[in-house]
Amino acid sequence: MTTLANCSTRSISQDPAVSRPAAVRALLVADTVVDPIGRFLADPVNAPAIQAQIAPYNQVRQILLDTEHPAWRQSQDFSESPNLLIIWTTPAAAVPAFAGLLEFRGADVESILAEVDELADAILSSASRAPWVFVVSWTLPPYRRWVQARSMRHETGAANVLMRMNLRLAERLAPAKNIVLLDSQYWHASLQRPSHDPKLQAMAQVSYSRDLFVKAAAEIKAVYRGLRGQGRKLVICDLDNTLWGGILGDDGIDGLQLGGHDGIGQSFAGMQCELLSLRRRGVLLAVCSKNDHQAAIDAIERHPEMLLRLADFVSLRINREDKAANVEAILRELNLLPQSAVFLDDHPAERDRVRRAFPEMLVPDLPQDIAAYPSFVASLDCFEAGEQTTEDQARTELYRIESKRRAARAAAGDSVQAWLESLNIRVTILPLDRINLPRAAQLLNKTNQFNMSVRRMSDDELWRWSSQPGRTALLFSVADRFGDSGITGLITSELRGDGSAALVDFVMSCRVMGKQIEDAILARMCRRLTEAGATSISASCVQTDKNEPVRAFLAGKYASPPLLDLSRVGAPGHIAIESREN
Amino acid sequence: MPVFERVQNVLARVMQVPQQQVRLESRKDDFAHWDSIRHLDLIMEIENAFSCTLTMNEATAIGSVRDVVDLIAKKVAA
Repeated sequence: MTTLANCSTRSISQDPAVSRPAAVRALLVADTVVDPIGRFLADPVNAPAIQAQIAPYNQVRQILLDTEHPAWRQSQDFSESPNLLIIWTTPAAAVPAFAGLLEFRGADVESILAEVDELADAILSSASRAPWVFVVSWTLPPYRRWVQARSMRHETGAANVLMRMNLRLAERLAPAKNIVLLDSQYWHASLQRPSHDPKLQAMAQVSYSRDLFVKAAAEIKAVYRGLRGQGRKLVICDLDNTLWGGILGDDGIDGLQLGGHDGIGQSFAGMQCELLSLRRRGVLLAVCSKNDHQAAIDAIERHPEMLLRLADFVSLRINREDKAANVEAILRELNLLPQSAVFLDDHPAERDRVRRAFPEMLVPDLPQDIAAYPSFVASLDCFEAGEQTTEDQARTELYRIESKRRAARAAAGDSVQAWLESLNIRVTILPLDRINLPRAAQLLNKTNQFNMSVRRMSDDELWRWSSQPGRTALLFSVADRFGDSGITGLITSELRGDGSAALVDFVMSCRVMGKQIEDAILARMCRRLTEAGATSISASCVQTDKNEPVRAFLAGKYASPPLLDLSRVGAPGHIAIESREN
Repeated sequence: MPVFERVQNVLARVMQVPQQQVRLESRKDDFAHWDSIRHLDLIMEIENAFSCTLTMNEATAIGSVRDVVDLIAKKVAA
């Protein structure tokens, strides 16, 4: 069979049965056989349809450096110059010195990087030939297992040097603002099926599987859409079984599944986390829910495990009206078009309603398994945005945050204390109430490492215990400037009539250990007890094979166990405490 | 949908011809676009449509619509 390597310049045209005017013309220059991608780029179902002309195989440098090369002269299918130049090279072919390293023939990193520079110069020289130039970054062939003990070794390992090559390429191409370096590592990593098909390799020197080509085409289109300002700007979400588990009207705020240690609650927390992440990227969030308005507002604002709060949403339509009408009202309010929005709802009938009303809106089916909700949202490729089209407000905020981070990192240097101080940790102390009771019980029952007395209690047992005179139960939630960890600890105490007090429970999630938050909490509780008349405070710590962290912490606080030495208990200055205690 | 109709569908799409032009007795030479590139496309689309994997021998042996239908029947039965 004739291999594709021998074929001359070809134009991949789309199926005439679904032919539409081509929106985007691309010239694809490659040193590997990528012809199969042409069909997927041309597919009009995933807009834009990209008509790709594939230049003669393995003549990348010749084409890029020779302005008169025949590949630049448009074939009969192209009456105008390309909108997009795609340069797809492979590391061993594009950088021969790297092939030497890969094949154990030896090579030094300087020669390799010199060849990268040479290729970068060739790419830069052709950057003006198209409005946008996409350069596919380098990956190792996925089937090749290089020596794993050495692959990441500094300047000699294949993976290590490949990273250097990609970084160098990115650095060299950075000045050209119309060049986009595409992360092909992500293409391979995100596939659930092999990215290489040995049969295609053997038959026609095609190094990639169909799935990889489908993914690459989708990503190229997504990035192109983003650069053209066609990324989606708004996510309209349902509430029940979309942002939280359960039906607010039936289950009440206390019965919602959100956060905590169970898989369902974690999935919805993960979903919110992904949406929050989108909000931070500049994507607007709105709520469209058939619910009692006030009850939903209360749940959003007061449920302790909500990551998204009212301030995160730009529009709320919470009522019993038709969802399509509500969606329309949201779009009108925000002055956005349906093609700018995504609608997320667990209910198939509601999705169908909105899909029919707004064919241009993205209304994806949510995964059957709610465990996949967070990764589903995280994998959506419709929010792509180039620097030029990012909304000004979001850009300003992003730059401001990034600038603060840089300053903090630089100022912190190597000092742990300086780093802790830079984190801007905020601890909020909350009294135990009916809403946070399930989370408190979860902390008691699931925490092992930082758990002083390892009392396992049900919600009701904990509630009854804490309701007795002299007893106090406080929860604390932790946030820093990088995010909100939610309610991550519980401390309880008992003050007796003779003035002696005892800490009964002290549990803290391992997620927030190591930041001296435990010191702040202990100091807070001791101060509270002292102000209430305690003359001594004890803290009996049971010993388990897992709770060494809490024992180590308390070991430094005793006068003689279990009595605490209050002179050794103090709140660190880098933690701000907000109290909502009774 | 019967195997032949599904194969007909895939072939018509890959070879860019109307579906009725894909007959059981059609051979490679009957399709203007069936070159080495389209052959690869055909293999990829058959594997995708029928959720199967062809070996290289099976893939290279395809020379007609009947070859595809027989191969799929064999794969499904296996």
